[in-house]
Amino acid sequence: MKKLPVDAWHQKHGKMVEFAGWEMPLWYEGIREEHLAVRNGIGAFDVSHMGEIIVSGKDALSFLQWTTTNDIKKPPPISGTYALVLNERGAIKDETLVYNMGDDTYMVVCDAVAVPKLVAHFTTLKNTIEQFSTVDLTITDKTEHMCLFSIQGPKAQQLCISLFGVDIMDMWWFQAKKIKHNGASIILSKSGYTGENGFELFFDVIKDKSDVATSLWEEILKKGEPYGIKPCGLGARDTLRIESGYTLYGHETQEKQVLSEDVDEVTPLEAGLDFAISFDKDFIGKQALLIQKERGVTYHLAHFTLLDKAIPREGDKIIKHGNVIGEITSGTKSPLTGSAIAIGRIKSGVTGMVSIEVRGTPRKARIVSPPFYDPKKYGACREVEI
Amino acid sequence: MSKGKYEVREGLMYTKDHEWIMIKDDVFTVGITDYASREMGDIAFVELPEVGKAMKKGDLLCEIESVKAVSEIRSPFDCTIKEVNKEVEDAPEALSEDPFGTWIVRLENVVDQMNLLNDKEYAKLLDSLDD
Repeated sequence: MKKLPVDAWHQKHGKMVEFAGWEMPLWYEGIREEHLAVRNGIGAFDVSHMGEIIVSGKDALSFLQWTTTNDIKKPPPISGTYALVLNERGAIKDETLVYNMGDDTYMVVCDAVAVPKLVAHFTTLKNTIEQFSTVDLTITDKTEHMCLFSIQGPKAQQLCISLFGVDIMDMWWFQAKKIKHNGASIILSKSGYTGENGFELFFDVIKDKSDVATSLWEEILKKGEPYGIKPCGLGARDTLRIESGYTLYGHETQEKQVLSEDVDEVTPLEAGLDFAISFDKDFIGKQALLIQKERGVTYHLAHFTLLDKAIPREGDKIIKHGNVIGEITSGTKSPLTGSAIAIGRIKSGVTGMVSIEVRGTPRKARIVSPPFYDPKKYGACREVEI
Repeated sequence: MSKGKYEVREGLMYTKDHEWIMIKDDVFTVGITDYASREMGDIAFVELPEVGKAMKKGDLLCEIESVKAVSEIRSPFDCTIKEVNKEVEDAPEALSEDPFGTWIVRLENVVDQMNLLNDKEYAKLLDSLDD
């Protein structure tokens, strides 16, 4: 099992689990406490398991334009674009952030579980091109050589200013800056996946110098104390993204993984990720999406609030008028509302009330629009100052 | 829920499935131990049995649902449900915050309680579980 660079700290303070080949903290104090710390103040996540694939060379841009759905040419260095990698059937191989680092270099940040498959996909395509032509392209998997800390919550900006003393007030979402801190070169990106405002710190792990990572981690927690910072594990990371209504590869989005008779792959059109597709350019999977667009989608993602006290789990059946109309992909209890909430795939056109069969018992649920929290009070666009 | 040694209360009886039992006047009050509570993580919902229901050893006593999983608490013996703690239905987080101070069910007409552990035996069982 792969270990995080500050593994010793997590071992001492957290409950550890195996996730995507990594030994990861599931929680420290408890999922609920950590979740609420992010919504009300600030939380710090060590998500160094996330993948970083560096694509560089004169042909890097056209290669990534061809292999991802969004137009990554637009944002100037350094900033990122949310883009999907699709297979030729239009199904989602992974959801990624592609950073334009300048100098014909791009950093593809992807889910840990998808790293081997994306590296293989990119390498196969590169090798295919090389059969017929020369190409200036290098693909490097830096996942195990990079640290990624994520600082999330309404107080994240204040903490980052006090930590790094740099001007980050005017940064746009997915914009990044290169900064120096105690000898380490850090890419500070305004990004995250909690629904809240936040910043992510990418930096190289220097061999035999994991203390650089440990001291930064401890400094974040120390300087965050006045803001009520809590270290947060994968548990809170998942409840926060579900509460925000965000998709996660392997659950809401996937390729070739049998979930039910009708659904075995998910395209961006079915997952409500149309905003990440640029139909003005050509990319792998586009033809399939165009066909699906013309025919119309038969399934789409929906969000549910339970009226009963039980958490729907992945694979639970969704029922309307006695017929199975879909399946749950993620479920949890919202620490903010106290209700069970879930995301699932249902037949298009279904609205209103449904039943979800949780451990054999039908539970009443209402189809709602995400996020599950009140966006006036919580999340990056909150109107209430903290 | 900080990491460290698990609490074992003196004077209580225990099951090897990590429930605590307080016996008084033939009434058995049942809750979950500090270890069970910390293993489950944040407890989200509790489903209680019906008062008056007769249970066989191994029958489903209650379901405790945490954010991550569902744990079934099985009846450690033949018994009847005398009382249930409705408060844990409304505030299940009490089981995470104060497991020894939060009872779940009270049982009567208990048959065959021979397999229970005392506090020392239970502490030994916890020591043998390598975390």
